[in-house]
Amino acid sequence: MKIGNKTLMILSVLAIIIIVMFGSFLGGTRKERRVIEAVDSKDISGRLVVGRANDSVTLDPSCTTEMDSFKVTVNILETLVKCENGGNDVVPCLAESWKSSEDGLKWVFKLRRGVKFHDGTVFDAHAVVFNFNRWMDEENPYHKGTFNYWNYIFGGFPGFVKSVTALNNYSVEILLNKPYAPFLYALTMPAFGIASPEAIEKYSEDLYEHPVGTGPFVFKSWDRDKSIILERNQRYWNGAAKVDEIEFKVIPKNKDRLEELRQGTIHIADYLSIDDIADVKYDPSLYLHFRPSFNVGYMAINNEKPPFNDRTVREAISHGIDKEQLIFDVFDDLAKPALTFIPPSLWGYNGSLEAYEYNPEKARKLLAEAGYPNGFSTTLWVMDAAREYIPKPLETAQFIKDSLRKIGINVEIEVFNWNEYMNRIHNGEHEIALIGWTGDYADPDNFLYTMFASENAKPGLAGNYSFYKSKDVDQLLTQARETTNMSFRRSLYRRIQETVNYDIPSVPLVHTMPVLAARLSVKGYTPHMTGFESLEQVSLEIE
Amino acid sequence: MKLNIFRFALLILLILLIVLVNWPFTEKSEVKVFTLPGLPRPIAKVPVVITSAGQSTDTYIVNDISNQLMIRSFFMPQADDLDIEDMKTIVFTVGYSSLGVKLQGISFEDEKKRIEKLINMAKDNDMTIITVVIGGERSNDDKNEELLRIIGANTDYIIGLKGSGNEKILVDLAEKGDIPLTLVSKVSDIAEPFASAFR
Repeated sequence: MKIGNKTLMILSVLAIIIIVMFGSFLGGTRKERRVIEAVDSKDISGRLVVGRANDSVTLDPSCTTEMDSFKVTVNILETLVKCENGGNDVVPCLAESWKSSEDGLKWVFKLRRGVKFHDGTVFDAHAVVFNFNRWMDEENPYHKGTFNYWNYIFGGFPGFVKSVTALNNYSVEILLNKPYAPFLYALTMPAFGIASPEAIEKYSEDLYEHPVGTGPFVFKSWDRDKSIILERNQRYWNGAAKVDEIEFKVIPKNKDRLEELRQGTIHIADYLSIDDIADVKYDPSLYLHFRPSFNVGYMAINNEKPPFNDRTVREAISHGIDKEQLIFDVFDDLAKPALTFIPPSLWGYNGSLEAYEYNPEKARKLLAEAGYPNGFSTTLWVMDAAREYIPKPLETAQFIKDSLRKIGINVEIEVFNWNEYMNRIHNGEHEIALIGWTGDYADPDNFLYTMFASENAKPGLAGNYSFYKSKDVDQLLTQARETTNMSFRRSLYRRIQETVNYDIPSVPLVHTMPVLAARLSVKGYTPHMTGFESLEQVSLEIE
Repeated sequence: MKLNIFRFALLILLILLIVLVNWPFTEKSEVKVFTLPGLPRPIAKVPVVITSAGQSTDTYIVNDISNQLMIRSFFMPQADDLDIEDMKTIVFTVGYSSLGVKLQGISFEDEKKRIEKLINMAKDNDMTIITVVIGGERSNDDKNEELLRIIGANTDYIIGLKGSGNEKILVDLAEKGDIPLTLVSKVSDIAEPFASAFR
């Protein structure tokens, strides 16, 4: 080899080394390098921490209507069918497919094979039947609890579900006594999450703190009012979740949640206010998420208690509240005044209703007409922590107190812890109470039947917190459930809203757009309109 | 030989230069774009005129959605400034269709002029302008972009499709004009944000 060739070789090798070194140095994006560093340092950032204002009430979803319970349980227990991620369409979950008879009375679900509960037992048709029997049969030894949603939807125990039968190991037949248009939608609700029959038998009344399902996460621990931890289900039938663990951490104060988010000790913070939004918007490490507005916050008036059993008094109260001012003062302008009890974006909404305009003078006259020229005294109940539909409960209560004082009604505010609050208003112990409803699926039935059917005014199980009973409304609600003709259903719901608007069983206040914030490292998070979402697709990038 | 070495060294330098020029020195920046699922407060009033910008059939879809929501609207794909005199809101459904324009017997320039006139009239009359873009496939069409640029800066609310080729332009318009933006996953999801503009 000549010297020239040698030099050539050396130069070539040097050039390659330079290129490779350069490549290693600048190689890939910073993100990729971080991942390498993380792997090297055995990074433990696989725990997604969700900061929230309230703890769950129970982890047995069949016995609650409470949002902060569902936010956790949707990750543990799965339903036969579910709403698509970020949308309204019903898609398969534990049932691969289904078909119904033409009259809508017979439904057959073909179940997914090879699915196991977290305790290792097999998911099959017998497990589904076991769960349905627990929910619907008051005589069932495991029917221990309130089973509110079953009652709301199916009208009692067993209500209009005639039978649930395993046709074979992987097919279930459900027979109804009458057609129910939103039946499939109803089955998407977390309240109908299928639990392990063995766990139900084992834990019985304590099931609420030992949830065992088939979902992407397995329950690990619950430190009351502090934190709930779930861990990844390694055998999940739909592919393992992207994070190792989820922690739902209770941080009651907005400011503290936001501060922890900034510090990076939590990844997602719920229920933020407009002041927080401004901070988040200009923080390069945070991202704002807006949940679709699918709720109503309202003042429930107990129509069974005098003087609220008098429509004129209720009308006076309606004229006594300036919703626009309420939104400006308390909701930071991030809400819409509610004309009726279903969200404006939902089909069947009646936007042509006549609103009860703010008119304190008229309100006072109406009170005088009703026999209260000097007004009266009452108690307004309020929960102690933020809800999506009433993010600032105490301020809202104070605004209403001030408003009603102007028309001669002396209001005393009484604050309750959320769990106690729910129990007491379910029993109808309140006179007036701040409450709300976030839709479980896109059908007016979910709002109007729950809130106004006489059937749902049973003390202890009530979802009709107005304890309003109207034969006309009951009839229309039933008719709307039993037909599948959409335009007929639409017109029935519009009529129901007209009647309810005239009767004023309660005062609709606002439709809010809940605001959340997350760190930029959180990927794949899409807040669902129902207020809860399964988090298996959420991942964390190293910051 | 010296000449060969020199040539080779030059070649290596050239390769290095190419590598350097194309290397990703900066991380692909993640733009923080705040999109809304709908408007937190209504901004528009009825009556509404629904018109096309580009004469694609997308306007029919928006009209259907408006009818389903029972929003008092008038469907005029070819609306001119006189048609909108008594209206409170104008909805532009942006989507250029060469066939659509041809069927209407107009040129693209005519269409642009019509839109510009409508915008001027809308501004003079204090009308709310809403822009809806659902034709994701025609993403890189220059004419679409031109139409969007004409309307975009004057609009009060933009609704578009997530992941469509128009997304970049919409985000750009929203950022520059501080205009609320909603990006939906599929066409049928437009109903919610569309309703939120009115109630």
